[in-house]
Amino acid sequence: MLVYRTVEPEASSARATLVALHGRDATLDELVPLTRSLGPDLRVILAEAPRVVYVATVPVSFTWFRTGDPGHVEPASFGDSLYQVEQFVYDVAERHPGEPHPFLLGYDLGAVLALTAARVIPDFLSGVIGICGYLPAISGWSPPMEDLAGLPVLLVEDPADERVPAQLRKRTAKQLAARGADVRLKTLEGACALDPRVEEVVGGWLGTRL
Amino acid sequence: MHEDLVDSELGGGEPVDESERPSRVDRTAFLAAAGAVVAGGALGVPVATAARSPSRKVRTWNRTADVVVVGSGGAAYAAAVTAQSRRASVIMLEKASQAGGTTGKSGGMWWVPNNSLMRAAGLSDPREDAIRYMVRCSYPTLYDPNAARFGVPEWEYSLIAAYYDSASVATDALARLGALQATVQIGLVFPDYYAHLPEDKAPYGRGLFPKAPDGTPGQGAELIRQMKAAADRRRIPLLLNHRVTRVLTNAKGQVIGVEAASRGRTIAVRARKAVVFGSGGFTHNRQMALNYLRGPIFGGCAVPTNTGDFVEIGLELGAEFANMNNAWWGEVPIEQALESSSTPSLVFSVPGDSMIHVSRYGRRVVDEKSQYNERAQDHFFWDPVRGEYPNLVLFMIYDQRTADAFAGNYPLPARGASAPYVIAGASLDELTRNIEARLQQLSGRGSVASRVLANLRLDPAFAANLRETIARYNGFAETGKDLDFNRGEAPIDVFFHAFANSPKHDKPNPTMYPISSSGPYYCILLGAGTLDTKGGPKVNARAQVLDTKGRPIPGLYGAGNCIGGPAGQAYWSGGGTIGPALTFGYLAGVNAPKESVKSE
Repeated sequence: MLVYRTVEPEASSARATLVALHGRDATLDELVPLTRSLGPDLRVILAEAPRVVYVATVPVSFTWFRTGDPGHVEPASFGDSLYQVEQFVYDVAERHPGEPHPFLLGYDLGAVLALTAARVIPDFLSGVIGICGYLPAISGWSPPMEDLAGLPVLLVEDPADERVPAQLRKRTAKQLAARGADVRLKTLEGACALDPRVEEVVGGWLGTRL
Repeated sequence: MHEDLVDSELGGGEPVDESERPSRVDRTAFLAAAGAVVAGGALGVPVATAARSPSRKVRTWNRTADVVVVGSGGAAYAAAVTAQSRRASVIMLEKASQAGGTTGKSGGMWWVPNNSLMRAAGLSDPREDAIRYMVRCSYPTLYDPNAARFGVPEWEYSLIAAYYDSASVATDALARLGALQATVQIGLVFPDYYAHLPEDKAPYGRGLFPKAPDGTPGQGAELIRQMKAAADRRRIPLLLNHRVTRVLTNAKGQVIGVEAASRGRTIAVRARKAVVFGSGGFTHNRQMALNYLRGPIFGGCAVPTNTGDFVEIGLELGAEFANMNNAWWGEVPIEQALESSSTPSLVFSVPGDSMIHVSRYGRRVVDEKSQYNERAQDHFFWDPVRGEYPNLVLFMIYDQRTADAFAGNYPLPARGASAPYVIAGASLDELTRNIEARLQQLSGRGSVASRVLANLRLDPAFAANLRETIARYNGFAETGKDLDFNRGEAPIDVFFHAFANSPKHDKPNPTMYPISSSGPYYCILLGAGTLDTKGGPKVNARAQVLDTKGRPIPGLYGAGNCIGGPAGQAYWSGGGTIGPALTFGYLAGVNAPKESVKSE
């Protein structure tokens, strides 16, 4: 049920699809600059979070789920969004039959969802990119997929990230690798502000996998 | 009633999507982690309900405080911080895994008659005028401007009067305590929801927002951030994941503590003086929604832990109840409500000028620009001859102009974006066919206390009627006068319309523009929902919970959406929810520490 915008490649027909999940209090346009030039044959689908953020009853932006202390997600709203991202990935596959599974990119809260999705539907993804995200721990819930079977995962972290403690970032990389993901961790100053170099890093990583 | 239907087929506080595609996301586990499900129970319905025997000898207390506060939204924090400031030791118990309650995800506005910021801005709000306005809106069937208490009984009047007398005091006190700073920046242009009524003598300035550190108006998250920070500074313990399941009383019937369940363990918390409930309403308890609310709802945006715990507890303690049939109403996009444990958002203001709501008969039924609380109640109209709620599902119809000009204004998708819940058609006939197909696709699916009925179909005359309806509406748009529903005549209609950066046009009424004679056309299915309910145990002007004889239950207080509060059926304005919550929470915080210590 997610709202989305599809951006087809200009020069050629798409050979791969990237689904992009924006960060907190934003719209699907947030990741337009980052995803604009990631690959000539790449279809980009920008998905929008379902929860409306209002100011004086005017909707200004959207968010995926509620958060608490660093590393803490509110489970009910997180579960709702994780479910919707899962279903959205299935929808994308149905809309583009015969194509490889999509890559899933997330930034900030979108990255928390994308990285969790790696542990839920790795067999429906060609790879996962998490920019300034982490794997949350949710009491009483375990991700269903134990073996990520070499799923490529790019983690982009910012040493100045104030929201995700360094320990949690490291733990995320470790957990994904321990489950068999092919994890690459890139540390980049300004990553959480979506510094233009993030595009280079992501584009480079994607380029070897398209 | 309908036990099989209620438990097995309808949702409510739970994921209810019945799509054919399986999911690997065990949403029950997420709800359990959120504190919204009790182990062993039907999903979303609390099973470990309130005590069956309130009096119980407890030998061991795990924690002790003068005042125990249940919940962590605006009402609870106001009570906790205020009580602690009056030299009471306080402990807070929150059922969810995160503090904030529904306040934390709200717009953050609170409505305060005669507040000091409006006075500083030169606006006056005399007591009698403000009370008259509130009575007029809350109890319109009793209101008499010339009668004592404006025609309402003593309890109803006393709560409204207490609200007027204490709301501004509470707001100022919370500011002095460093718990909540306010700004009236938006409130000065934000009209009351019934500003068009002659009884509203101060239509602007009562609405406050939390003042963020940078001076700008914040939202509910900012409100909770400030209040939680104040509570943390005062070292008020907050136990998350603790669901209060029982209120404990002594032989005299005085409240002496609570039992709370947390991750399979039960603890007893001694309350030497009082227990204050600020635990939210019952939106996500489908049985209560079915039994109490006066209209069918598809969802609500209260946090999913709002399952009516204080209703259960109040019943056991012999409390009197009030306002159980009312809620803070709003409209929800039905298809989104079906997918969420807590509806992502209500449609607070409907975007668009070339846009109308029609029933399955293709006829308009409402001023589409009226505020959400009123629009939602149009879904409750019952047609006894046809034996149906003809407005159970309403169809928001709009053209490409509205799709483009209002793009990104929820629930309209951003420009160039697709929304699965938007039904499109190149012509009105095609749109009609596609709506029919969608209704069949959704047939039988439901949430909380409503469903898209299996036999729900568009009337055969829908398309023809819709053409007539559009032609008539277009005439109104040309003249600027909506002869059917007075669209755009209330100040709040215009405010909501203009505030969303709506495009200007050359027609006389800014809220109406002719719907195009050519497609494409679009439709979104809308149903009724709530922000939360607002009924529960009755309280008095001191926020003490009353028994069926009208006597305070010693040591028991309540505030916020878990009580039968002062608002009756009204939504006086934006912030009509959080205003009473903060005020009665404050009153509880003032009065609870004055209680004597109860013996066990």
